[in-house]
Amino acid sequence: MLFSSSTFLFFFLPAFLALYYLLPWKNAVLLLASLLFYAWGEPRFVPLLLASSLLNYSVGYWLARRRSAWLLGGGIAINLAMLGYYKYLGFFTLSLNAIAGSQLPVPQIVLPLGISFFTFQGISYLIDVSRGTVGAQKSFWTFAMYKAMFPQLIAGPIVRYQQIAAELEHRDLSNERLWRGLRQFLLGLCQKVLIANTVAVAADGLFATDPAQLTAAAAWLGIICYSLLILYDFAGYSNMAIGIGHMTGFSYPPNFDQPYSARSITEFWRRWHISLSSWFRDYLYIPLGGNRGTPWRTYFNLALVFLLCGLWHGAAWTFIVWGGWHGLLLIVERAGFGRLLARLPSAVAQAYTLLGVMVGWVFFRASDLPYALRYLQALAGGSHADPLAHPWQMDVQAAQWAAIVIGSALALWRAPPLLRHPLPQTVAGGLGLLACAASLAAGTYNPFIYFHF
Amino acid sequence: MRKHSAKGLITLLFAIPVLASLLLAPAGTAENRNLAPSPALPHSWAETLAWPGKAELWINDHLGLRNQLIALNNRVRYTLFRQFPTRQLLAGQHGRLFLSAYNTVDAPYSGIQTVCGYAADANLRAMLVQHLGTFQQVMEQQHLAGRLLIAPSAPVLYHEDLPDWLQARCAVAATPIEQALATAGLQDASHVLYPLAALRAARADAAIFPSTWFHWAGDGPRLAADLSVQRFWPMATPAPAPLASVMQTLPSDLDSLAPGLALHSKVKKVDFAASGVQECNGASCFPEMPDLMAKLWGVNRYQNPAAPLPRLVLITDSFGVSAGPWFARYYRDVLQVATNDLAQLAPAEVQRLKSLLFQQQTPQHLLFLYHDGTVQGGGRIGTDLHL
Repeated sequence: MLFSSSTFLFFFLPAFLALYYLLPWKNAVLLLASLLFYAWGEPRFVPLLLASSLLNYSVGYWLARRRSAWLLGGGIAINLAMLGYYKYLGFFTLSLNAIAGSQLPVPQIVLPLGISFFTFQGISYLIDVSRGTVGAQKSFWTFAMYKAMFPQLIAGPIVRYQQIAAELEHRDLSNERLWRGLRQFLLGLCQKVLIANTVAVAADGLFATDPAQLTAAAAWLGIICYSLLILYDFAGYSNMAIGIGHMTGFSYPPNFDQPYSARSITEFWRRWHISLSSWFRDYLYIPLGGNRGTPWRTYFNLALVFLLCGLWHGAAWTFIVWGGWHGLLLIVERAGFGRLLARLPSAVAQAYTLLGVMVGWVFFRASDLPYALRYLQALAGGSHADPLAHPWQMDVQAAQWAAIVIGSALALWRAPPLLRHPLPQTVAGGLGLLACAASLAAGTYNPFIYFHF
Repeated sequence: MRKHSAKGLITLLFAIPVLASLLLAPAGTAENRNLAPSPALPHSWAETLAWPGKAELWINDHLGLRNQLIALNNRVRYTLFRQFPTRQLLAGQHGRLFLSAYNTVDAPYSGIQTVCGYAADANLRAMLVQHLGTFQQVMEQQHLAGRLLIAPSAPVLYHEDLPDWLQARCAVAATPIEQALATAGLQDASHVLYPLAALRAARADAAIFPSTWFHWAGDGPRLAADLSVQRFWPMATPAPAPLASVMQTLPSDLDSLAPGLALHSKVKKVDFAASGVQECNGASCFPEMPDLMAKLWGVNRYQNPAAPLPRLVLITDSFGVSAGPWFARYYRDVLQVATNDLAQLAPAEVQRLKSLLFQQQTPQHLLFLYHDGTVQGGGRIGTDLHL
């Protein structure tokens, strides 16, 4: 069930909110609603979600009583084994066959929704309990509710237990907080439906084309549209999740902070998917030594972390290359280029950062590595395509231009919020909801033209 | 109460569509399809797994205020961007609309590029030549003196109204139909007419296609009727006086693709009363077999006692519906039958239909009328009515 669907917005959400606000058993309502939400798309994996909850609850329970590296390591290993089986076994088998020439049967395993998110959530819980950062949850059902909370279950942010532990039993549901949550939810909905969905039409059309048919202008428009698509799709979803969090009394962490306004890749990763980048920093990079060792050790740590970050995003070489690309840029900045960037005009530094990020997005979006390389060639004007082969006007029209201009302005420019006062924000949000509802309804319109031609 | 006002108001906000569907009368739809039925409660694991998908389809089709929201979206989108909610519609220049794709699964712009000849290859030309040959063979085999009128569609007639980039793609020397006719040596044939050049020449003074329509109407079919009768059955006596006509502002025939938008055009229609022509639409016009005709869409009949020629049988696609009245200038009895729904008829019923249409008791002319998109789609020329 998508947040930006009529089913969620106008059926699930009001029914859930009504029960949640009216009934005293808020944790039970949230848990049951979350399981229903998950089952709506993947009922067969509800037992897996509950099993993951049971695993991390049990290990956490014992870790709180006896700090044991074996117990912690075992808990993390089982979490990673689940993730590895469902997400990577097929990819690893394919890759092994390709590299070693073996002919192992490639398992066709369905990927459970959100497994990357709730696995990392579980690992962070075990490590935090082991470190004594937070106490273990005594109630399995409360812990299961934390793991399964539908606002963040499918696409984050990765909410650490310590971030909401205090709110599991006592939540603030003041008017001011609920309105704030609503405004953030509506902001996210508008980002997703009005900007992301609009540029998606163009991005999908251009990336579905052989790059040899794309002029440089078309290729650049394609990657610009995709860059805006992935930002507003993801940031929009995160804002919706955080907004629902506030509406239910939970303080989810921020996940995006105008990442395209960054002036270095280092800064970019402090603004993009913050819950993930901070997870890797706190649970992998720093335990590996972070930047406390020699420069070469630091470079190794950065490379490893970002290769794994790429792999986390998807079981394909394109994602690994994407992660490696960012790791390389981080290493270069760490090695001295970052100090040079800091002395350059901010527009130049921002342009460099955007270029680096967009090149990375080519790999992220491409269906395979050869396509990515051909697309990069098209970006550089190397395709020598006939302008009529695939004119960009086929995919980018007035609505897409509006979304590109508005989306870019909001993403690139660190301007103060246009509407500071809550009331105009709420009115704007209401109009946005109307526009989004209209757009979603129009997407369901499917006439059958009678005349058959 | 005020302490909890936000809870109530926020819940109410998201519940508006559901409340509207409960309080307001159910709205119809112009989608010309059955809306998703409400999902029955599941009785098996398989049905349980399928239930969410069915529920979502039902919700999408029955959301409260759906029609109003769709109309709002379409109006805002068109006003701000001159874009439509579907890629099947394309806003051209000078206020003209084009049907960009015949359905939602065809590639965008395929409806335009196919007929204008972009990337048309020798295989297409060969296929068209074959179809034209098939038509001739079938007419001879069946002893039918049928003629073929191919109506050019708006993208080839109003090429300069396409967006610039599409004009560039469609800048071919000859359309696929023109090329096929030339290859088959049929440009001046007595049994085939593709009046592209004549209609292009007439654009300055006549509205061949209403600007917001897919189908031709008014001067387009009027001129085509005149041209085809002159070509196929030149009359010894002077042509009868033109039919009286009246200008009407009518909604677009593409309206159903963009509800909420007023895509009207001025259209010239036959003034039947002033012309002395009796118009009849639907199965009741064919008392010989009303039950059979009731299964077909687009069947009409026009009778003009003052016309010089006896009878015309028009076998058509949807372009025949607006063409039929204009032939009443020449024929005392015009039977126009669109074969779009021919699959609704059993083979025996098709035979009955053929006996009605091709009976030789009354002298008659037989004209097959299709637009270029139908012809290029293949499969109807020479094979309609199971010929």
